[in-house]
Amino acid sequence: MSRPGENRELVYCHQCENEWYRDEHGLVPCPECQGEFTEIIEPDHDPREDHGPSLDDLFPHPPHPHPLHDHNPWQDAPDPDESDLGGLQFRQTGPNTVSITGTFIRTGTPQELFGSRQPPGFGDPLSQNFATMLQGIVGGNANINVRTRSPRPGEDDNRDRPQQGRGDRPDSPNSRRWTYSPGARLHPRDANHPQPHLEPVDDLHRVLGNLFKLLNPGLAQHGDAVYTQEALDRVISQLMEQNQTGNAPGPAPESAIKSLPKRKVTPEDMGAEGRADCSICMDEVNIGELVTELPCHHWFHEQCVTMWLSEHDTCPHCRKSIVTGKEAQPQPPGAQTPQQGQQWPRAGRAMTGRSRCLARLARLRIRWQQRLRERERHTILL
Amino acid sequence: MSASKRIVKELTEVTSNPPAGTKVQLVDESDVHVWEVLLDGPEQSVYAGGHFKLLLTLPKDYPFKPPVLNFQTKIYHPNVSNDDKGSMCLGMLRSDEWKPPNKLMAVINMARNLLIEPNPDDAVETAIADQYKSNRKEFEKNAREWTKKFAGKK
Repeated sequence: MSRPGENRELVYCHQCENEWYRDEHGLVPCPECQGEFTEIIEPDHDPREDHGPSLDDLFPHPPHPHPLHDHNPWQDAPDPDESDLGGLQFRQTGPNTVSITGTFIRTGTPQELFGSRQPPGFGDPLSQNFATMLQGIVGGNANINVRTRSPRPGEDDNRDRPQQGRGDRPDSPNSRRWTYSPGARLHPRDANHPQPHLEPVDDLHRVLGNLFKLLNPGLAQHGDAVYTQEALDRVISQLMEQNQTGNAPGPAPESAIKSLPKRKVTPEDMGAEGRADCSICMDEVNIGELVTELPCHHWFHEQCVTMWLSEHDTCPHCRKSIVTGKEAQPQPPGAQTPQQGQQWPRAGRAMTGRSRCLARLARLRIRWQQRLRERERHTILL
Repeated sequence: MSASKRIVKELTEVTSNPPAGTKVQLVDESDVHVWEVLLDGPEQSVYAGGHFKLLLTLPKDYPFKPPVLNFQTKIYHPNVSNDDKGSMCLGMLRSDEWKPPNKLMAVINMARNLLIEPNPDDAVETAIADQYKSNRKEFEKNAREWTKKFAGKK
């Protein structure tokens, strides 16, 4: 008697990693996610073992954590809903300098807003976050010189505040202003110890250029690193475009190509016009010339057909394999996804190495999208 | 075996005996890999009266890889991408269906036949394909409008 699981085909979904018996739910779509990238699990080929690198492997955390790593911008904010950055202005004031001004409007008691919990240097958490963000872009140990103004003259605070007491009153007793003074640049320096003057690591306008690039999804790509779903989509589409032969048969074994018989061209090979040519190079062949014959009896120049077979195990004419003698099935029209230039692995077909790679990419994209959705939800909850 | 020998052979064949309503020439005389195909909208099609400029680019490893066909003239067609590339990529032009004995004459004929009869089941512009299938009148109206607007002058 047959035991459960024996002689039953198990199907695997590349999208959600679900598994099911084929006789229960069929091959496609996946009963769980309705996905169509499914594959039968075979003893000699188990797609479950084929899981590619995770997102974390692909986008590893740098050895030195990024300044924004594990960074919770709202950690110290008394009420995140009330924090607001207004009146942000960027003004070019010189060839290499940019002036930025802005206002954070917050409510709360001075103690809550500017309590002693914060590390000295950049003022309240929001402007500190902004400074950290800039620092993150420049990288390294760059210090950003942020000048903050006191919310109220005379407030007991000994933090770095060069413009304190200049008489610039904030908009309200409970708000705080900060400014980037003209000429603010990012210098690799330690403010607490005297150091020789060094060239700025980067000019602010370039830093801001990078910042704006980050905000524009179309440009949010730097080498292999992407910052938005659109950019990731583009990278994947590009990879898929470059691998368009996804489902074309792979190369024929070299031994099989080498053992193909050679024969001389005979008068019977001549066409109606009394001439014949190799249909790959289209050069005329003469009676007595040596050609290579495939099992399907189509013949070509040895060099020509070797070049083709070492990429695809099909007869250039009838598409029959030189190994199995079976014809390669062209993809049915409509099986292609509508997106231009993309070729997704087909459902339920044996996958070649390349199409496995594509399935992996598709999986990555789906996970990435899930992750983005989760993040959105998380943000909304916050 | 020299690929450019075959290409020159094919070019001679196409220029000396061009398919109806087509004219083929090299964009740059020194490069046999880039062909310009001028295609008149077939009389019986919605593209009648239009003159379409196509670029037929042969890869370095032609004939082992398929040629690439791009409509440089904008066209309202389910099988031509509506972007700055104007790609037509189906049937024998697809990498997994291409085979070396295919000739460029056949590629040009296929493009022409697709103007007469689009293939909505292998479409690159799915919205146009849906319209072609469900609302032929609207499709024909749009296709004629675009032909007039973008392909009117030679």
